[in-house]
Amino acid sequence: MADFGVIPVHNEEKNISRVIIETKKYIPNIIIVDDGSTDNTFETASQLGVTVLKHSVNLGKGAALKTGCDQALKKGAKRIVVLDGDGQHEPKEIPRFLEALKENEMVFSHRKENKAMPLVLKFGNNFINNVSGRLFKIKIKDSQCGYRAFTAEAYQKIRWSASDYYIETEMIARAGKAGLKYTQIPIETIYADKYKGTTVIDGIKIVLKMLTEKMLR
Amino acid sequence: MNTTFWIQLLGVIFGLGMTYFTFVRYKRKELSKSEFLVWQGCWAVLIFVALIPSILDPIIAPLNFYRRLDFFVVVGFFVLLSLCFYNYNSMKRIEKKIEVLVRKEALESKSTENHSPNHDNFKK
Repeated sequence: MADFGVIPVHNEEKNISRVIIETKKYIPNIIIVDDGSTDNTFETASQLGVTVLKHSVNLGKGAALKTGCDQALKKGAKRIVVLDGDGQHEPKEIPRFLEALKENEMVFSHRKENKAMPLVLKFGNNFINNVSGRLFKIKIKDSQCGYRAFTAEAYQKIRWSASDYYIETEMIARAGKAGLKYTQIPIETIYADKYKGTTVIDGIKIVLKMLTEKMLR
Repeated sequence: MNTTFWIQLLGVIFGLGMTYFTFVRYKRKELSKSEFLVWQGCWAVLIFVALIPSILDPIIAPLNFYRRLDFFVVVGFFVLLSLCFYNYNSMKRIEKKIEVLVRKEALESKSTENHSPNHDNFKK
């Protein structure tokens, strides 16, 4: 079965080597999508024996993941695991995702209770989880955790249009709408850089987009 | 000199300034001839109305505005909202086009495609 790991990155020259080396231990095919980095991320990743795609300008996580997943599908992927390139997600969890995919079309993950998780992030996540659960009738414990896996068939059903951080929520909405069989697994998370990732403004945008999507569809 | 005079003067100065900037943009070939004419028409109307505001009385009177200036503020607000909406849509369209272009470029000209040396021996 062709398993692919898709990792979107933006200015991660310090972390990308470790992420690729670790991920290689658990998955044979890796696609890195450099989303318009201005540092040496692309050069560093290119030396590590993986497929590296480059966006000439920064489009956002959603667009980068879509590029990577489209490429994986083109190369015959049957199962895709997506994880962040900043080292926040432990590649050693990949076998658990692949195992869970045997019985499901999609695997979500939720971050274990962690004191290192910034308080504002905790509150924001809970709020978004509640809103998305009510709007899309799909109960996800951690709607903003981007460590996920899905089958190629599932990807075609959930292929998102968001280019930014709304991608995580749009994936959930589409999975709920398509009635995909899913499960959720707990994962360890490392918080390396508190200035990266989803901000409060992103959170507000996500909630507004959820409401708009619900009203228009 | 009453307040109306200064508002009229500001209107004329603003109109003349914009006429100049529009002309410069046209000379730099950043505006087409039709765009140039449309914008110059807008500024000409603005200057004309600033000089002779009473020509709008037949429109303002039936709407029961207390002052001419109130009418300008309301109309200006509508114009600004329309421009916001137009700009928002233009921006979204451009964003979408850029996304399609950049993703297409990334997928077609992937710069490296390698597999790890022990790829064939990989065991799950």
